[in-house]
Amino acid sequence: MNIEDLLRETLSDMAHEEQPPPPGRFFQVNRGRSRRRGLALATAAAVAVMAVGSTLVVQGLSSQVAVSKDLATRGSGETLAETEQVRTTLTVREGLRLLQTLEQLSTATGRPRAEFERAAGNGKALGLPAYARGALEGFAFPGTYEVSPTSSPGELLAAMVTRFNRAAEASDLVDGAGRVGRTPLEILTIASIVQAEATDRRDMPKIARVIHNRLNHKPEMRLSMDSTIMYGLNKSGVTASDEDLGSRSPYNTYARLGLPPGPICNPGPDAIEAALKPATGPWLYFVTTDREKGVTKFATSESEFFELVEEFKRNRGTD
Amino acid sequence: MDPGFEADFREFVVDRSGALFRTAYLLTGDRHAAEDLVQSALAKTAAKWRSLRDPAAIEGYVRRVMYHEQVSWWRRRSRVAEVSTGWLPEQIGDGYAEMVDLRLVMRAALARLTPRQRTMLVLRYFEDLSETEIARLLDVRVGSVRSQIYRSLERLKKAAPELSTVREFG
Repeated sequence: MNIEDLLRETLSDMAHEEQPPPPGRFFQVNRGRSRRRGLALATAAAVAVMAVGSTLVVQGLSSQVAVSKDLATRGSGETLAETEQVRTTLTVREGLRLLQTLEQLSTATGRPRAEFERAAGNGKALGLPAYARGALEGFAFPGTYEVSPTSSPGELLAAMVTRFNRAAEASDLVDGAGRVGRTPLEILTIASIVQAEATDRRDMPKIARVIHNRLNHKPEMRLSMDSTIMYGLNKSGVTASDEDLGSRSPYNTYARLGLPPGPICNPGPDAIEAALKPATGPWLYFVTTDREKGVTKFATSESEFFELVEEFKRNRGTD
Repeated sequence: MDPGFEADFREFVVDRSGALFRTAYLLTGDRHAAEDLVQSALAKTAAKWRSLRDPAAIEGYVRRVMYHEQVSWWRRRSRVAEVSTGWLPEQIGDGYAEMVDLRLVMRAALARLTPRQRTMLVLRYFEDLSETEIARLLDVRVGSVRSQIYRSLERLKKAAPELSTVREFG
């Protein structure tokens, strides 16, 4: 390869490392020049669907520049008439880790992930409750958000925290945590594990019960949740390998007693509700015996648990 | 600007702003400077829209404004923007890491060129324009483009001695 080819490849790499901003950003060129009536360059929706693993969908992009009524009705096609109602919405799925969330916000807005990371690091500005201790993981509430081309990373993340604070109030998180003998952050951590482990939301209260039962067990019992190890290793998936089990991270709940230091994802309202109000029962184990069909079974004794593990292996087709 | 112009312009921006932004990013090496450059070139184009009824001419005009503005903008400023080298590859394969290292070296070397030299390289090796076309766009003689590009390549090699290993990957 010669230097010219290397230059071509380098430039081509560089050209694709930054996502272009939404076209709407460029329609603000004539803002403020009111002397030319109706000149506002409003844009129609540039519909962009960026579904990454179907976790996030951008339904439409538009500028916030007002189009004069006059111009809209004189009509230059349907697109112009739509201008007044189009907006960008982002749907952030339940159970995403903060890093995944930031990545997808970055993809959707065309801003570098580093900007979101910087904003995420400024916990005070985001309106986090004191018990979050400045960390955003667990508090970036899932849901659908409206985004304008001018929203900053800090505004977007603050909107997610606001939504969390509202949900926490609605489910009486702080007082409810006290009633089950946990701190609010512990409840949110439990909720995040429930969210990560559950394949069917109907199982959430029972999974939450298993976690509470293990934490309260005498003699002491470890949580032993694969999902927490995988979080600590920053690996995807919820099934840890033998090697993963040797992880020395504080999120290795096979090795350490009690809960991990904080939430492992951003749980939705069902998981938070389950953590606050677990089902009643003696279970200490659960196994998702059939991941495809989303079947999770619960056990109280170790021998029952091993039977479930056998069932899981049969379903997976390995021994 | 009547609705017809307005709609054309809107369509043009929706279709082409991504491509314009990518070129602007290569010219400036900075996301925000790139957005400003595109925005400013579009604003100037919008003002001349009436005299540009040929749609095929529009992009050429915007780009021309962009290139000129970049060169003159740099002339007015002494500061040189850093090229971010924070980018890392997602997969590493055989010999891939070495190639990536070389590209990072290349980027750092590009950042040390003058704006005019850098612009010419982007036009030649990213936009794939001929020396004649570049000369026409920047209002300079072909001979000047040729010698500037030659000198830039030499400078890239010299600024980054690591590039001498480039042949091993040929």
